[in-house]
Amino acid sequence: MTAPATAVRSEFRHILLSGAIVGAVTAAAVVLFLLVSRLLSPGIVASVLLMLIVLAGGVAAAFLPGFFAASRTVQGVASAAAIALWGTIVFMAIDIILLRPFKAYPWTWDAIGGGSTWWYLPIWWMLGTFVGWMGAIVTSGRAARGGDPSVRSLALPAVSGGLGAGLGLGLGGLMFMPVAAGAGFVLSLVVFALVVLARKG
Amino acid sequence: MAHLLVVVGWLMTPIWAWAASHVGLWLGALVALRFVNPVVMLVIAGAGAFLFGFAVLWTWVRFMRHLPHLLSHHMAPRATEEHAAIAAAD
Repeated sequence: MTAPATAVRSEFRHILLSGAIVGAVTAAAVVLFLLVSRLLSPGIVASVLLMLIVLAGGVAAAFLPGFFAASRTVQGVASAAAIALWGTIVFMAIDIILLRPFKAYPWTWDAIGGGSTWWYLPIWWMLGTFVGWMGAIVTSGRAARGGDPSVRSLALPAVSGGLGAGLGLGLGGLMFMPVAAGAGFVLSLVVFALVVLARKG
Repeated sequence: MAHLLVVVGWLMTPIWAWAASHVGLWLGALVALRFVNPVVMLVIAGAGAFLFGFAVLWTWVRFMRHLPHLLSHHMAPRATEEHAAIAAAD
């Protein structure tokens, strides 16, 4: 007996609600990151903890939209991308209303964008939507092959890539460990999404 | 208005990278026509795309990081800073 097909969730209200959850989870990860970076003195323990928070946030941003939309078809992947986009907008609202007035970020964060407080929000709109889109492609590809489409199972390869990059580049002193982990996670995710697309093609 | 320019500028980053790599690919393909080995031709075209894309991306990010400083020269002083600005001008 075959398992019943999972219905793609693409109703507008569901997208808004799911996006709000993704945005709230992202904000929680950012708050946790800021707390750890302020409470712990710089060192290997703080770097590893920050790397784990970045990877957990990356998993949420990449795979929760596909999970909420039950991405199995092109429609499901598009819905996941919409959820991810709305999540970034909800995060922006939380950021402007809560995080900025409390001066949550160190001055170095603004310095990356040349002193502007507006540099990272458009970057996050694009990156957040992109990783949600890639995560949904991986989700639909896994489901199409009859594999386990749970977030934990889907995230494992990309998290491994992130851990490898974070530990390799971070311990080698080439890059800040959380940044290297985030880059490795996104790169691994893109590679897996391209593999899914190549198999379908 | 300044914030809007910063936001639009950062949003244009991937568009610039994509367009520049496209131009690089085209120029690389023109150069690659001088060769006969298809692998060499592909490598040259790909290298052109990577080179142009990376160079324009690097330049654009540098420009965007400098943009808040450039915009600050064209912004009116805030009400709280107005007296100081007038005094400085005098």
